[in-house]
Amino acid sequence: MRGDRTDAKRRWSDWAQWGAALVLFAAVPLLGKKHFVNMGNEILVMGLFAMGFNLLYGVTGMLSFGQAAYYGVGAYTVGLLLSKGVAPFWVALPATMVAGGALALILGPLCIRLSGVYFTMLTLAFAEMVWGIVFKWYAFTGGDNGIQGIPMPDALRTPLRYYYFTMAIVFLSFWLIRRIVDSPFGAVLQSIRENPERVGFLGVKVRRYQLSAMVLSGVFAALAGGLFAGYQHSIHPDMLHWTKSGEVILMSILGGVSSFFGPLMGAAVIVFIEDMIGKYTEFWEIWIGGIMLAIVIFFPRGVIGTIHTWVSHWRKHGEHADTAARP
Amino acid sequence: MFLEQLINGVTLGSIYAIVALGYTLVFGVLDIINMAHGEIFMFGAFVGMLLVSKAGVPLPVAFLGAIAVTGAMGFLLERAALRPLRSRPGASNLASLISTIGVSILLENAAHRIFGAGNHPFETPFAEIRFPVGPVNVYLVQVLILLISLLLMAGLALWLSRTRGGKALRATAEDLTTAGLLGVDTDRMITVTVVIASAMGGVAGVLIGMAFNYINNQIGLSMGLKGLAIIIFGGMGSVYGAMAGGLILGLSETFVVAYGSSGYRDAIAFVIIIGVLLVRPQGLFGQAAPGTGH
Repeated sequence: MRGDRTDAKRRWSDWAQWGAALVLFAAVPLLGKKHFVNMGNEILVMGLFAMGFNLLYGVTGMLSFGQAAYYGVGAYTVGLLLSKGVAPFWVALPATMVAGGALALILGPLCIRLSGVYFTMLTLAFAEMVWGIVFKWYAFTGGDNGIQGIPMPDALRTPLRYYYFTMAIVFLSFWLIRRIVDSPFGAVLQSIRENPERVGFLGVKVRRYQLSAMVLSGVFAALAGGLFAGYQHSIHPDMLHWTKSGEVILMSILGGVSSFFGPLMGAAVIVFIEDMIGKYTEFWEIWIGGIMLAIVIFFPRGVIGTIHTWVSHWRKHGEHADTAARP
Repeated sequence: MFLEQLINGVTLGSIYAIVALGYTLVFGVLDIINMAHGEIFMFGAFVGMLLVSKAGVPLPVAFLGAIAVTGAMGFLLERAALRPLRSRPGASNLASLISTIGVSILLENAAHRIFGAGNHPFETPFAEIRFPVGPVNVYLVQVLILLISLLLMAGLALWLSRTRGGKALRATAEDLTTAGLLGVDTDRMITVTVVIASAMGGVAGVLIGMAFNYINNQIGLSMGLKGLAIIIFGGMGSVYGAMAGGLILGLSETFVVAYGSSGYRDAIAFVIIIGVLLVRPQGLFGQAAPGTGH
């Protein structure tokens, strides 16, 4: 049944999505307000964080509750290397990816010994430990003071330049993630999500693939953290706290874990909500909790996923009417 | 010194055990982790504080009040965040994990808003009463905490092993569908479980207030993480694992703080988790290796 027509259709809607996303983000600075550039930057960074997380959760089916550790380690890699004058930003940013991948290589083998809820709790436990170390080690990380005044290279001093720099890096990463998901390697990850036991019986080393997914996800999370540190010029241990891990889960399920750009949409919605509600009350997190509950119960496939289901349902009916009408 | 620390450790550990039992009961029956349990525990502590320090009622009334409020919260949690997901085919345990996280964020911020961020003194009239037992001084509060915890644990064990309701609950935990086919009202058993677990959290909240003489809106989070740590290294769903795990954590925390540094107090739970899981992935009292089976 799946002929060239549906393939072509899919490819077309793919191009449309990428094009729309690129045009939208490129146009943000044209709105002429510094505030929107800041928000766009945050959406891009959190979007990258969420898309990297989704490589683990939506694609491979492993719910990590400790992604903030990688995000924070990325941010501290940039913060420490730059503020101590060890390396320039152009070296520090790629170094975040090495740091995130290395952390995943250390924690990953310990976590993937267990699966399901047990895996989730282990990732949380390890992330809390990393947070504890950053929080307590005053001499090295600055403890709960964080690091302020991270010096940036002249080429990226203005918010506008940094925004487009972030956009380039983030979209390049999106493209990489897309290539990973569509590759044979990505197909194995998706089959592990569906049934790890059966994939194991086929002779695939499931744990090796799960570890690879953790490493890739950690690399993108750390890169997002590094980009955030460069944009904010200051970092804080809160970036590693479990609420950050919860936030990225929320973004993904809000946008829908089964659609490629879902997590980015989720990130955009959450950044907007935080910005709007944050103006009126400091207790915006109450809303986050309520929204989280409502999404899981009423939109189990995420907002985008649910709309997608409706659209394809409606389309299917249309096609059925088409074929029925033909002789 | 050593004996006093031992008593402190056992007292703290028995409270941890009660919190961990709340997680274990729900996990045993529903196979989900109730992430809102720590916040329900905190509300128990606040209700107890309001009744004892502000209203000045006797302690037993404070316990009843905390049980009533947290039990009701458990009932609402089951109705609002767990039951709607259960009726949906194919909803994974991760969905209820996320919905209870939502409730926990909601409750934590509600507490912040209602009670503020600072410390609230939890004054018990007999906080300073102590008596010498051999070479050490024992506080009356510690004896009370131990007694109440032991009563609660013994009561739970008896109810689970000797009564019809306990049997129905164990059957539901063993196999939800089969228990339902055999005439157990499983929906009711699940509600009962969540209410009992939450009420135990409420009792633990009042006990923590008695033990430390102050509470704040952060205790839900830190106690929640400790409870989770205990059931992971004790063995998920194991009642004895929760009790033993609570004691182990309480004792190790007390001794590390006494002979080492108080800065490491909150890290101990995680160090124990990692240590135990490297050797026994199923936890100390766990049956089979989790996750490797079904």
